Amino acid sequence: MKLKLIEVLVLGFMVVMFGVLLWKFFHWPFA
Amino acid sequence: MIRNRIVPALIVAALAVILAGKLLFHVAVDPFLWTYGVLVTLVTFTTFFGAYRYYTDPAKDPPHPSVTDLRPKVSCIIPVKNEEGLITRCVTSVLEQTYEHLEVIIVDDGSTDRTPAILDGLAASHPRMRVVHLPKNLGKKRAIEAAVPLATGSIFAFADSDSVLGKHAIERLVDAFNAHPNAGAVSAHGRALNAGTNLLTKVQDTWYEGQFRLSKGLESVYGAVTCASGCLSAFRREAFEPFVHEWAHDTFLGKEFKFATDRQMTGYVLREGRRDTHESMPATADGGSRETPKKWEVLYSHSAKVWTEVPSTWRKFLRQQARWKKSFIRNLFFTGRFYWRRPPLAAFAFYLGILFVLVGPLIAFRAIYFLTANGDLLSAPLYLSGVTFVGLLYGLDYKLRNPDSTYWIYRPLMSLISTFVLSWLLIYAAFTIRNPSWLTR
Repeated sequence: MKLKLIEVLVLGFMVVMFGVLLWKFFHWPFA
Repeated sequence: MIRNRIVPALIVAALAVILAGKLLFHVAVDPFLWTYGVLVTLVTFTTFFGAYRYYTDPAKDPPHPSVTDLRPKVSCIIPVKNEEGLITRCVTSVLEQTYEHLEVIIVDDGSTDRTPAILDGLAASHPRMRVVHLPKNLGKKRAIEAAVPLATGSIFAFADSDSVLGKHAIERLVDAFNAHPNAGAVSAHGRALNAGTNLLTKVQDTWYEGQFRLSKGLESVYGAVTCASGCLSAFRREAFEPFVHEWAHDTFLGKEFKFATDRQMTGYVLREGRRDTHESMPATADGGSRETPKKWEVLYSHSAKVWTEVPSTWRKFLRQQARWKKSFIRNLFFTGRFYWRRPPLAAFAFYLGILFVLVGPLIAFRAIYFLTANGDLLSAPLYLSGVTFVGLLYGLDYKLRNPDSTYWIYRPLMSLISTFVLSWLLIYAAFTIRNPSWLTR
């Protein structure tokens, strides 16, 4: 299985999104 | 392969981390959004974990010792209306099945195109196939009802006329029945036949894959699949035949209800017990032996493949989805009345799923418009991130079983479409539920 560039980019995006979702647990400006 | 273990583990772990985060750190945000988020994450986690960990294909299990006839006759029944473009492929795929103890009954439901002539041509060269021409269009359910008295098999396989069966599909479904004498129905695994047409069809293909392998997979673990799919499912004669008339003439709110063909058909099997007479049990007061109603199982076989044509335009797609929402509402008042008798976890997921469908549009509205308008500028993007991320997890799951395809990257679109477009169709469906128009064309 070879990943195309677009797939690698989407995977990267996914990791960033996961990071954002975790970040919110610790930094919530409205708490 | 190692990848087949690592990717599911990563998906489940990601969901577990998010769920733990929501529960431990995130209680100060909007309480509605938080509660909904926790429940959705919990169900998604359960779906992935349960489907990966516990689902096994019932067709791969060895035949049950109590089953004496391992080659039961199958009657494949296909209602068709104006399907001249695909019907030859559909019927040929049935006639070329590896399982040969099979009769094919096609019901031409008042077609006005070349379908009747095509069917007669096919029947002329295939003795196992017979065609019933209905004098006028009666609708899908009544077309099936017309075919049932002609069927001689002990298993009915129902397929859609715009579907193409995998070569071994019927054989797999029979294998599942042979291994599970308590199975009243078995659903096949559906995918999009025309996946490559455009973005919309790619999105739907990725959605089908998850809906079947994960959602139906988990329901199958409990023997309680809520919808044996219309594109291809098999039913034991005794589990369905007694209810054909009632099903075909279903009424809702005082009018004939023409939708929910597959969901409602499955509902009868889930509702009714299998009646076995056990001689060993103590006799009843009147001297007769006691009948023990045993629940039918409804299973899903991943290896029984079928490809069905999915809508390639938004107009058709939305019409199909509106029809499915009507079916959902109708079925709430049918399967919803007795599904609680099924295993608790399956019932919990079922009723929670209903709750999500009902409150989903309101939560989306609250997160996107209401909270933003009230100065909370982070809830909306985070809500969108959550929806997209879960979509990507489903995408990864698609990639797992379709390593050569890049369609998985489109799966998050389905989550977004589902949240912002399809969920609202429920309201439209509720207001137009008494309109029987099929709106396929």
